[in-house]
Amino acid sequence: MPILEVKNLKTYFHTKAGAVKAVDNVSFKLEKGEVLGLAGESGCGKTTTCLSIMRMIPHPGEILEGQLIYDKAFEVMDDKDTVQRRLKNRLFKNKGGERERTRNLLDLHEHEMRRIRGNHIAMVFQGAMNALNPVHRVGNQILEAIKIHDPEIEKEEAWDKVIDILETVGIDSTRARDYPHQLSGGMKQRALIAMALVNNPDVVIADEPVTALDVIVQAQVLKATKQLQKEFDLSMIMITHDLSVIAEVCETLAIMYAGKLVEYGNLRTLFKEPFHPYTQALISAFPSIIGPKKELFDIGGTPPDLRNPPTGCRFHPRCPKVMPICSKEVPINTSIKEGFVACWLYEEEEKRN
Amino acid sequence: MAIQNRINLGNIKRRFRRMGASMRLFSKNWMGMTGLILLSIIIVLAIGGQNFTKYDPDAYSTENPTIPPNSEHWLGTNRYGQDVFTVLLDSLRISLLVGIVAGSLTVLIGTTVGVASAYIGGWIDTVILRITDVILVMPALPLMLVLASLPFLGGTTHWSVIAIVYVVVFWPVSARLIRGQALSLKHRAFVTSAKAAGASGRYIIFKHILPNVFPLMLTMIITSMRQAILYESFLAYLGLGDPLNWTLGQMLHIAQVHAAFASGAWWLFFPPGIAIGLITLSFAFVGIAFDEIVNPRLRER
Repeated sequence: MPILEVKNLKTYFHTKAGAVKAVDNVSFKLEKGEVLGLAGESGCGKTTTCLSIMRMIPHPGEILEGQLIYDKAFEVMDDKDTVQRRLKNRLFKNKGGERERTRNLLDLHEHEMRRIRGNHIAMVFQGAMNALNPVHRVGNQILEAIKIHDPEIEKEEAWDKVIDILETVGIDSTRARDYPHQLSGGMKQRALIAMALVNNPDVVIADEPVTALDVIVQAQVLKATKQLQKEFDLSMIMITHDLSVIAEVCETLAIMYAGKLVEYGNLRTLFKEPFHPYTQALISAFPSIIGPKKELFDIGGTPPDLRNPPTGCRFHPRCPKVMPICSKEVPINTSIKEGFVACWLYEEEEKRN
Repeated sequence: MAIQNRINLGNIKRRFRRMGASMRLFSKNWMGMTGLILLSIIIVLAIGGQNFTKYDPDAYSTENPTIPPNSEHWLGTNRYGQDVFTVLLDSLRISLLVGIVAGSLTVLIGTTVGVASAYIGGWIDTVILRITDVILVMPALPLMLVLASLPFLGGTTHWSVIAIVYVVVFWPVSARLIRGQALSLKHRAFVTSAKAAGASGRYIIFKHILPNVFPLMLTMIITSMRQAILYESFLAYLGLGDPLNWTLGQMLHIAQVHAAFASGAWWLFFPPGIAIGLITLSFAFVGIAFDEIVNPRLRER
């Protein structure tokens, strides 16, 4: 039973120059305690996918279709819909009264979604330098994160929680009264992780959590993250373009290209034997510290314009193994070794067998 | 209960200590201290008012009109035989009142509109922007003259009318400034981060946006107060003042009407003129000092 299931998610940005298909038919599952790595070039829709899960797509973006199945979604629902609530949420579709219990996050009202954010699904943002408010003390900011979801909590109890979580992520409790500018980059990132974890969420989404840090601090933060993940049995989605980060922390790997999920599967299998030509290119574009020296591979061309992406398989203009069918029809997901790949190469193979 | 009290006391103590740090910085700033001392003298004179003089500002007398300063009347008398020093003290009170009320109201309205406009965005933002544009393109003084002489507003131009006119003409200035700041704050990572932690719009505005625009607000309030005093004097001097209350501008207006300039009665226009200059200067000094304290980049090293 997966804890979070994304089904056929479609998120478009309605710009004046046309709709940008930032996320197009993305589906994946996240099991309890699983760490999923979401990798791909910049602009391929990784962050948009995760913001869609949080339902925080900025204007002019819109989630067009799909389902975000989260088991505890109905826990935050109000049983009845009042007129005032409907006005507040500007939803006039249903007439009010009794509501059906839903497991789909997209069916929740905005004020119900606020109870999900931070409490059930938390997100750690990239750029630790700016993600803390410079005018509030670090400890107080974490305290506020607790108070948002539990306004009646005693101050000492909440403060104890803050000290606790700071020590768990490896920050000395004496630093709780410091302002963000008094902390180093790595500590700020840890503080952000602490802020995300303080309400014991089921799912944590980390958007490039270590991108702005140097390698040594990266290693420390990743180690701490891994430890916390094991300790709390967290389910995580880790967004990054750095495959070495994924290799360090994740168990499952999902590769995105131009708004689509092209390959999904176990990390070890995928690193050893990538199926999709894009995954193959991505992995061979990354230097290996073991084995013979070899020239790094680069993928020719540029990522496509998502306002009018290439027909058929979106990777076909850059694909070294392109076939006539690739430009005509969208490839179907083919199951391969507990995962899937969206490529005609394997579809054909399956048919031949 | 006891624990609760202790915590609150601790909070208050900490807050005072933090305020103390800012106060120390302020006291090291010669400009700020000069301005503050000057301003406090003016405020004491304005509030103390009639305690510093034996005359009544409203008492007319035909016995001694337009006599130059002497030991009886420190700043002479005007054509109505009123003691100029007494009148000056009375004027200070209303002028400062107009400045403080109009100045702070302008910035409060500007901040509310600016933050709301930036945070809500969309067509509401556009409408508010266009309204501010309309007011901003018109020259301030003529616009104020027209508004102050509108019959339904004025007729008899009470000082509060002048204050309202000032607010109407100048709120767009602060609204635009605050909106710009709030807009850049809205897109900062910590706001997104707070949203992802489940914060509501109201929470984000009060905990994240307002504390960050507060320094700007503070300096703007001081600038605005100074400007309001100046504009009230302009209007009063031009004859649109409050005829029932003395203000600094009203004193200049009366001096003009009674041909003080031509007859060389300098004690009728020097005192209010110098008073306006000193008030403006002290507000400016305090404003600059505040700016240096809340904006560390301006701080001397």
